[in-house]
Amino acid sequence: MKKTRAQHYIVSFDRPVLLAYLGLAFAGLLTMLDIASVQGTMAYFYKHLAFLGFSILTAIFILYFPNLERLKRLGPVLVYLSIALLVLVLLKGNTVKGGTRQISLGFLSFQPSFLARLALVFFFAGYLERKNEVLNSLEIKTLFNEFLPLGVITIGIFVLIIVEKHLSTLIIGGSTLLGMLTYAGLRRRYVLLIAFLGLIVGIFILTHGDEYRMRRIEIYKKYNLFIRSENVQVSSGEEYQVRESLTALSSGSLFGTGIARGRAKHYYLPEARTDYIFTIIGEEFGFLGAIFVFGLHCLLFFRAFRIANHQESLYLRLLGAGVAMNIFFNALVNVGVSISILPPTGNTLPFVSYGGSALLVDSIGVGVILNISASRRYV
Amino acid sequence: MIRSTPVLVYRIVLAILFLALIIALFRLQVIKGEYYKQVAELNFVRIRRVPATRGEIYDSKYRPIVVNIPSHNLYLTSGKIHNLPSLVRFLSAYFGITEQDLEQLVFQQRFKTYEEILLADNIPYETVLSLSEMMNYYPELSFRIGTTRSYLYPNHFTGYVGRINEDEYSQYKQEDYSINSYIGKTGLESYYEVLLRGQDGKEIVQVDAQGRSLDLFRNEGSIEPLNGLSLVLTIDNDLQEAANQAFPAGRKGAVVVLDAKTGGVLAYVSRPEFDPNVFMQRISPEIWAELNGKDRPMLDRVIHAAYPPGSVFKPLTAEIGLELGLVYRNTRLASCVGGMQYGNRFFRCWNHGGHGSTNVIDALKVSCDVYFYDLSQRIRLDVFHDYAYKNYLCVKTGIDLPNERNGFFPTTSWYHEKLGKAINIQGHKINLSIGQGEVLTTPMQIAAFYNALANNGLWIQPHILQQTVGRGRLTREEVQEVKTTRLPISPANLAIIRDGLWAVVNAPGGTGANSKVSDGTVYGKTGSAENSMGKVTHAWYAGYLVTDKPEITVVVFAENAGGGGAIAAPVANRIFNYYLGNREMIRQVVPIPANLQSNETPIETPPVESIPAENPAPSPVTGEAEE
Repeated sequence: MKKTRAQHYIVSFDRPVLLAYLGLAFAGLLTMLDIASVQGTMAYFYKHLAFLGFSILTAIFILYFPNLERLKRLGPVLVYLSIALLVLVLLKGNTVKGGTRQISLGFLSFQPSFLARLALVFFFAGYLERKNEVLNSLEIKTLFNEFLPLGVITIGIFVLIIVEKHLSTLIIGGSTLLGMLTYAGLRRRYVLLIAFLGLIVGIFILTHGDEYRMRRIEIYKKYNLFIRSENVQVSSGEEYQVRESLTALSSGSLFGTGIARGRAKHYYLPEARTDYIFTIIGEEFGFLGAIFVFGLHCLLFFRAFRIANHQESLYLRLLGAGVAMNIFFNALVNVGVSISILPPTGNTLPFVSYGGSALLVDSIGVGVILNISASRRYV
Repeated sequence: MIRSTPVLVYRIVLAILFLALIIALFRLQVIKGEYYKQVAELNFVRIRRVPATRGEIYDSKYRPIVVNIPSHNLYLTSGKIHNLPSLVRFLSAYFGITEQDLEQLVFQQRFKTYEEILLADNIPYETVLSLSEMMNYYPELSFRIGTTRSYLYPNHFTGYVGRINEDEYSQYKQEDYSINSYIGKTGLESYYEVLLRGQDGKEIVQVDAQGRSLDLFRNEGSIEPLNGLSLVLTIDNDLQEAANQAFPAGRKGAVVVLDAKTGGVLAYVSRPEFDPNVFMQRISPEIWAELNGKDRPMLDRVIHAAYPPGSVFKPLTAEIGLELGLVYRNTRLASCVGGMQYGNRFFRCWNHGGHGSTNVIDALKVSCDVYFYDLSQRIRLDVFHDYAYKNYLCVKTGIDLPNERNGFFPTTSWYHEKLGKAINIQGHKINLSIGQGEVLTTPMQIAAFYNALANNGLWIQPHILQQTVGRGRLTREEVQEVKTTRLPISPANLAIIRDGLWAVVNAPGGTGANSKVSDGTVYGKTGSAENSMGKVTHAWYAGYLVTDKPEITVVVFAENAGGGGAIAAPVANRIFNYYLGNREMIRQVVPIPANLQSNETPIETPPVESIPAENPAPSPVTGEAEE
């Protein structure tokens, strides 16, 4: 297709996706203002506003990008860039709360693990398209040979992310990639095999890795929504976050305490701005508010998946689905942690939480979905 | 080709996940909500600021100058206000707080309604007693004991603290100030704010509905306050008092005594007196009017005001002449016939009878103006200017106090800009040579210059902080380095000027004879500076005392008081004599008292660059010349 050179304009694109995106961004902005108001400084609010403005512009820029098929070649480049950045972080990154994830760029810092996730989605979409024929092959040996480079690169990046102690991003990325494999039509027994292997590695990391992960599991045992084990001994300083999050959410009840009247942010619920922003929303806007925000994420996801399903190009189909899963799994994990369905781990609620890298990378994802959804007229 | 089964499976899995999540959230928020709601309402976390104790200020022998004393404070918890009109009436009746003040405070605190606001401090105990029974009606108010500053004697160097104002709060709130904080406003309190204030602690208390502490957080989130460092100054309280006594009552002016060897300030007097304690209470309009009256008691005449130096400036002119090789020890210049004719103007010498032809030593001794008039004709103005600056006259000495004034010495381009290119600079130079005309210096600059003369030409930055004690001990160098430089004068020429200064005090006919002492040798110079502030001259005296070694440098300045020899020299004489009489006591080294010993490991050096010292410079004082 040599259409890319031609002049084109966009006839239509998927408005619900854009609305859901903007709605989430607005909810995030409002919450940030709310949190900032009790902290005596508006710095974070203004920073968030600036990041958000830039991210929305980026999303719109990508929407108007002529043809995403051209980005196929960019996949490997992005992957190598991510690897380079991840290594750079290890060499000279800032350590924040026990994890070394950021590169400081003077006034702002960047977390390459987010970029790595998106890069892998691009990379997988391109790779799976090229090897689509082989994917259905029954021969495990051919399968293995053909997908060896893909596996090596993925595992390499994952190892780097593990070293940087960003396990949550690994889980989200892993599920997304597995989802893409399934979507592309990999046989179910192989999917299960990979999932099983992943589980074993995960358990190994938990038991043999850093001690803090095991402690988090202990806290989880005590506070999860299903079977609570009361006799777990954890120091109250560590369970503080989880307990406060639950208390705050519950005191929100059906309609919430009302805007700016929440208490959690006064308690300085740690990481209210990033990891526990869903709690603040749930507290101040109640169950209905929380469901609304989560509903926007679901809307975004299902629309995006529908768009992906309707694509002719296999590449765009895989890309769309991958990006959508990448964002949605992230949201699922964040909400799950907030209500203690999942063990505590630090990750953001896309478009809502504070944090420039995540915001930008996720907005690029939305831009990609919008671009795919756009129907163009070529002149 | 993609088959539909995985997609379907996918959708089902996701739908189940989604439903599980919503059900969990519903159960947590709506069904079990009541239980947690009670928990949330019963348990309420309060974060209370535990103010650090501000460092005190001591003299060089650890005798107090500024101490903390308990004060009764009134606090308001805006979240508990139930009857605003009644509260407004109460507060305006007893504390003079208007409705607007209160509304503004409550508005500022609107997001922290459970933190206390400091409404009034230093409330007299009688008021507390008489009001305490009414406090039942105002549960939002509470009296508590805090601390306040007590300044043990009036002075201009300690400065004072005050409640942080809106501008300061918005500027420094990132440095953990609250709207209840005190902040150093002037003087040492402002300059060493970073050292003095310490770091407030935080206490996280979880309380039930009745406000009882549940002891849940006590040891986890609480942060102990770090008390501020106490300052030990170079000031000697005895000598300070002596200098204060020596200065004639009712006069305006300044006295500076420097330790010749270290450059430390031993006494620092500015008159009229100013008592920083007045700022610790609500200031009545009468006191406010007095503070801003024409005597300007708040003005620190040692460093915040610059004056024409008059004849105490002459050693600099002599230094330039000698250094440039224009004159030697015995070079005689134009004969003084009560003045000197230059062009069509006759420049008078102070002695209308005339001094005849003099050399540099005699010219200093009798303070003959004509010698310096003549000398000035051979010095280029800009060279003159550069020498003044190289001798740290007319520039900030960099003493550790805020808002020091520069002083002033004109340059050729300044004259051209101000008075046009056609102006004859020679005439102005004649005036400048005897410290008149546009030149302005502060008493501190003169003191530092004479101290360098006493010290074989080694200029030492005057300073007032010696070390810190209390939570951490920092030596002077660890806080901030004391700058030293050699003045541009050769030892031989320095000796000539010293001989001149010796003759001023000790030779028959010297103008400074009033400062002569019997147990040591005084070198000095008097000055009587004409000025635009009044008909009577400013009286100046600058000199230093040498026994077996240089001891102290004294500068006395009295505004519009008359002649330097008659008015200022006797003051210096009293200080020299007091020093000689009590030298053992003043010079003894006192060990650090046990209660000031630091009980912690050495703290890291605080960043002195970040001292929030520089407020906008005070308005120029003499109004004679502007930089």
